[in-house]
Amino acid sequence: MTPTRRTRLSALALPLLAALFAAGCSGDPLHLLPEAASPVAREVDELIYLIVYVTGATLVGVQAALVYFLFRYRARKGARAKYTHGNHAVEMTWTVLPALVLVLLAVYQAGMWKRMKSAVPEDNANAIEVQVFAKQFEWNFRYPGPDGAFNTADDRYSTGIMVVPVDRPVNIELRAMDVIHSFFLPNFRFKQDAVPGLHTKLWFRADKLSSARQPVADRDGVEKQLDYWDIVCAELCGSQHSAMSARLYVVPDEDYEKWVAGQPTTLRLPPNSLRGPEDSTTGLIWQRWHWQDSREIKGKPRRSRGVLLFGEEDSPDPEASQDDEEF
Amino acid sequence: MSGATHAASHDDAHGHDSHHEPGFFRKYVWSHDHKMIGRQFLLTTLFMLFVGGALALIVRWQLAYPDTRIPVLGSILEAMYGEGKGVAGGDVYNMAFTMHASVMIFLVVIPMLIGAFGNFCIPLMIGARDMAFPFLNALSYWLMWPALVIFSASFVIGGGPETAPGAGWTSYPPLSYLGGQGQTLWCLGVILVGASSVMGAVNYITTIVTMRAPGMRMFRMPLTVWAMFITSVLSLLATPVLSSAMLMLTMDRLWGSSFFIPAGLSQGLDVTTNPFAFASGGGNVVLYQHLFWFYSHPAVYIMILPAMGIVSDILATFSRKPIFGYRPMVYSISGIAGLGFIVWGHHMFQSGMNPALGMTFMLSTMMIALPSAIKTFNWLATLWRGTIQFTVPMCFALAFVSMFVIGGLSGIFMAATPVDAHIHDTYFIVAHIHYVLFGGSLMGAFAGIYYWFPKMFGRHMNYKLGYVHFWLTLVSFNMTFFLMHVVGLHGMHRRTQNPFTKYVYIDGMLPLNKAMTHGAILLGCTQLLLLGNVLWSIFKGRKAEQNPWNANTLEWSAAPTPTPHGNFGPSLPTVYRGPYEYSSPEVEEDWLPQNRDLTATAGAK
Ligand code: HEM
Ligand SMILES: [Cu+2]
Ligand SMILES: [Cu+2]
Repeated sequence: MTPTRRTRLSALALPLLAALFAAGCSGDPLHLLPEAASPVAREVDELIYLIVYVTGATLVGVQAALVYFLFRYRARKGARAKYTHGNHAVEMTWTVLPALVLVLLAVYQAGMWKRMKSAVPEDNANAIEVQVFAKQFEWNFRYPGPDGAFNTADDRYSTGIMVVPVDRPVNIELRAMDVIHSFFLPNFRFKQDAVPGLHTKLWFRADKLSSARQPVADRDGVEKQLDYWDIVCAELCGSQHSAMSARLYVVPDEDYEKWVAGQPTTLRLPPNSLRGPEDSTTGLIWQRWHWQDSREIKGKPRRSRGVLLFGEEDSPDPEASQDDEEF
Repeated sequence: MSGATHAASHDDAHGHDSHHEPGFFRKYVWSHDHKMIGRQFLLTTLFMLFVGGALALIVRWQLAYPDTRIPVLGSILEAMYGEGKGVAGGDVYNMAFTMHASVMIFLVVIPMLIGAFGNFCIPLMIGARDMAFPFLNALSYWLMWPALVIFSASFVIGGGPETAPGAGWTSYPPLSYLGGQGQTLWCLGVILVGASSVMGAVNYITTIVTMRAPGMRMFRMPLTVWAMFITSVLSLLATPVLSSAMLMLTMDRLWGSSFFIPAGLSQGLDVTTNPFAFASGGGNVVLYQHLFWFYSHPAVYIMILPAMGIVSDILATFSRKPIFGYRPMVYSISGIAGLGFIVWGHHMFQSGMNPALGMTFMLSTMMIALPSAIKTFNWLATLWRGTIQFTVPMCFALAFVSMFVIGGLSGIFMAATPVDAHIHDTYFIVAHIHYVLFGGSLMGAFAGIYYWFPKMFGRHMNYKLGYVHFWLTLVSFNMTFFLMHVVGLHGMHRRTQNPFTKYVYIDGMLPLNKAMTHGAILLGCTQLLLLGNVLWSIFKGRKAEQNPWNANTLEWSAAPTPTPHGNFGPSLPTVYRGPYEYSSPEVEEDWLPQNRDLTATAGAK
């Protein structure tokens, strides 16, 4: 069989195989991923599996061809290699086919990316708002309190624990107070850097109670029942980076309301230092940080970014709004 | 023709050169001969490979046996940092992975592929007597040394691991803005290696454009030379951007210039003595990332293209078959170089960059997988109906193809932006990096070492040992790095020293981490076979003939072994054909060197 025919055959077979697999399985049949806890996560998983099948088939095809050639065309007495410098048709085939596959992949995922990072959640009116403040090495959360607005006396604070209601969009605004951190929810396939100087807005929606999380095996294989989803800092932020965790509790609406109401209205002051208490005069100092934020997010169009492609008109300039009162 | 005249004047210059042997210093140390500079680069980088490897093992040890004393390497750490510091927790860990990557990228892979093979091969393969600027060439090697000294000093300058560079090889501010003095040295070291690269690049471009032997048209150059040429262009255009980023970061650190530091953050400068203490703000954290990746994405191709060229040459030689699709190969190298400048944003999908911008970078990133795919298919087709000889260099070249495919395919996962949201900054990325840079670049470099050693040192390496080295490397490499895809998809994030205690879901991956560490230890020890083999063979290896592989390219067919100063004897070779005329029907043997004049022999008959 010539390589042309071989490539054509496998080119036909690949998408077919992928489609078959995708139709036959759902979720995470190969157990490659942590448990999914949001609709977006499940969408991403489908994409991951599509790519697993496409690249997997390519991988197997290429490695098999390689091994076969090595065996079949190993030097033997009297054999002479075929003298050829190439073939235009073959070359075109294996240029155009992968190009098509890649472009299809690119187009296929574009909508998903938009939904994940830019679009307004469908039932935005029902959304809750949370501000996330990352600092070395903890996660702080601010809720607007009963009046629904930030920067009022009834704001509620929490450190290391985030509680959100199930099945409602959660609009978060990410900020970093010292270095870059990254807000990573493995079970939500959600990651966004928290960058000093940026107020990054995103949303997610949990559709699974954290108490319903499947048991997780520890190093000895002992299954542990956890009642929270993990919040992970995924961007190197210093010596305790790997310990910068928090817990995300996804609870029914009424539990959420109760919890928020019970949270303190002040936050203990974080130390003015990056390197820890013992050296608080060097390192980065919070001169003024934008805790006091008069801007109201609720009800506003979601984000300032992506105006070009995604047709959102509002672009609030964080520095322009009067949000820099001294902390 | 400038090439011809230049070559002619060289002829005279070197005619009497052979009369007086240069002294030891001029011959082995401050040598202007491209071959000696190539050897110097090779041995230096081979040594640095072990420094980088040791740092990697510190990282791996911590991930398998967190916060326990490291055997052997622990004593070195204690010697550096004092009693009780033989444990890889805390700042030691951050220092170790930062310096591991920095050493491997800046002091091993780039200078080995480009400095060692570029220097040694380019003039020999295009039929030139030396590089265009021999002095600049020597300077580019010797600039490595201050960089090396500065990097070494950065480990210990503040007395402890907390002042060593620890912000990753990417060194994003503000973290890198805060680090100890070691971080400043790190920036300076990177600027120096950058300068060394640029000097090399200028030299290679000039040499390739102006000094090719008569008949050596561009499209008769071996793919190694093509790859070095395009790589040099990349390096010339991209490196200055990195250097500026480093300079700006240094100024931010030392003088409060605030290129990258936004309003609201400032270093704790003493207001009473430092006039700059108030001058803070106005900078942009993400700007650094743009500058860094504008260099560092092309840099990953700087690190793979030469290996691709080397592998192409070796595959053709040992399949005894012309490379399949020579021109498509050249075009895809160029395509990679072009596209390589517009994909940098794929490292920043989750950085806060506009997601619409992310979408365009996603498209270009998908497209850059294409030339790599084309090259892979062409390599396979080169093997097809060849007569494959499994020499040691060939084995490594085949391993390159096989491993690079895995690295290329994992790139598609990350290019898919929604998937990247999950796997960015996890071990999946680490797996990708190592499949392309170890499985790719280093396998290619190993192939090159075994292939050109007979020409470089006039002796053969020990090939039995070579096969052992090959199999152990292949097996332990996959043992170490394949599992990283798995833990990465499961959400184990990178640059973490002991995530097991904080995260139950990662705790379950400790056994896999142990397996990877055991693979890594084996992989590290295996490379001692290479080092031993090289050192032993330089002095004791079997003497090599001029063209042991029956290869077509000029370094084998025209340059004697050992190769004298000036490379080619009294007159330069004339080139009659392309580099891959293996199994040509024109001759009985299965090779037809580039410089063999068939008309002359036909006339004589
Ligand atoms: C086949 C085409 C390739 C594609 C589509 C691709 C794609 C990507 C993407 C999207 C990332 C960023 C992932 C993230 O951080 O979230 C990445 C990272 C990386 N790639 Fe590739 N890549 C390809 C080939 C290569 C090659 C040939 C090399 C080097 C020889 C390479 C070296 C790297 C390195 C070193 C990083 C990580 C840098 C870091 O964050 O420390 N890649 N690649
Ligand atoms: Cu962190
Ligand atoms: Cu890249």
